[in-house]
Amino acid sequence: MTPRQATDAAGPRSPIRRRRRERRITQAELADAAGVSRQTIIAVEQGDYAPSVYLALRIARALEATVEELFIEADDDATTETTTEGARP
Amino acid sequence: MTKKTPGALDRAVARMMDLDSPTYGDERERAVFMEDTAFGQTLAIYLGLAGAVVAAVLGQLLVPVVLLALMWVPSVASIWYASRRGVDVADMGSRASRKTRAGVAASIFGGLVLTCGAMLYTLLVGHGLVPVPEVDLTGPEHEGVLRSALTGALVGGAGGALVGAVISARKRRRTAAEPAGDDLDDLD
Repeated sequence: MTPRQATDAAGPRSPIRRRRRERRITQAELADAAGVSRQTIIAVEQGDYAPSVYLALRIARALEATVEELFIEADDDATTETTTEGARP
Repeated sequence: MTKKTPGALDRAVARMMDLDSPTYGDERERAVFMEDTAFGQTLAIYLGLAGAVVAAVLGQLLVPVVLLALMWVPSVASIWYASRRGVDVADMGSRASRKTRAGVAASIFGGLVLTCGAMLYTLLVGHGLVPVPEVDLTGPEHEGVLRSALTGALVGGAGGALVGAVISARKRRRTAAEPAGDDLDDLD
C-alpha cells in the first residue's frame, strides 16, 4: 500500500473528487465539514497537498468513506488479489 | 514539543506569534505561510548582506554594522526557536548536499569577508573603496529642493497607500464572490 501520487490519482481521477461528486457535495461543503478552506480541498483533490492524518480522517468522515479508500491504493492489483486470496480461510 | 519550562522569552514569543490564532487558517495554509515567512527571512538575510557589502564599499561604517546585526538577529532567533522545540537547525543544515552547503557558506562568509575588508580599508585609508561625491543639501539655497522632495515623497506615499488599499479591497471582494460560482461547476 502506498499513498496516492499526484500523477496517478489527481484531478478527475481523484477518489476524493469522485466520492464527493457521488455524494453530491460541493468543494465548499466538504471544506466546511472538514474545517479547512476550499482551496485546500482543491489542492488535496489535485494531489498538490498531502493532508495530515487528522485532516484525512475528517475528509473521510465527511464523505462517509475510509482513509484507505480515499488516500491509499494497492501497489498493483495482482499483489492485492494475491494477498487478499491468501488471507481468505 | 520539548519539556523545557517556558520562560518569559518563550511567553513573549508565544504572544507575538499567536500560533493558535485562526489567522493561520487550516494546516495547508499554515504550512504555506510558514514557508513564505522562511522565504522572506532568507531573502532579507541575503539582501541585508548585499546591502552591508555595498555600504561598506561606499565607505560607510555604521550602516554595514546595522545591516549585519539585522541579518544576524533573525537567524539566531530562528535557531533558538527551533531548539526550544527540539529541532536542531545546524544538524538539519549538515544533511544538505555538499554543493548546497558550499554555496551558502560562500555567500555568507564571502559577504562577511567583503564587508569587513571594505570597512577595514575605509578605517585605514579614510575613504571607501568607491568614493562617493559629497552632496550638501543643508544650505538655504537647497531648502526649496528638500521641501519639494519631501512633499513629493509624502504625496507619492499617500497615493501609493490609497491605490494599494483600493486594489486590496477589490481583491477581497473578488475572492469572496469566487466560491459560489465555482461550486456550481464543481458538481456538473
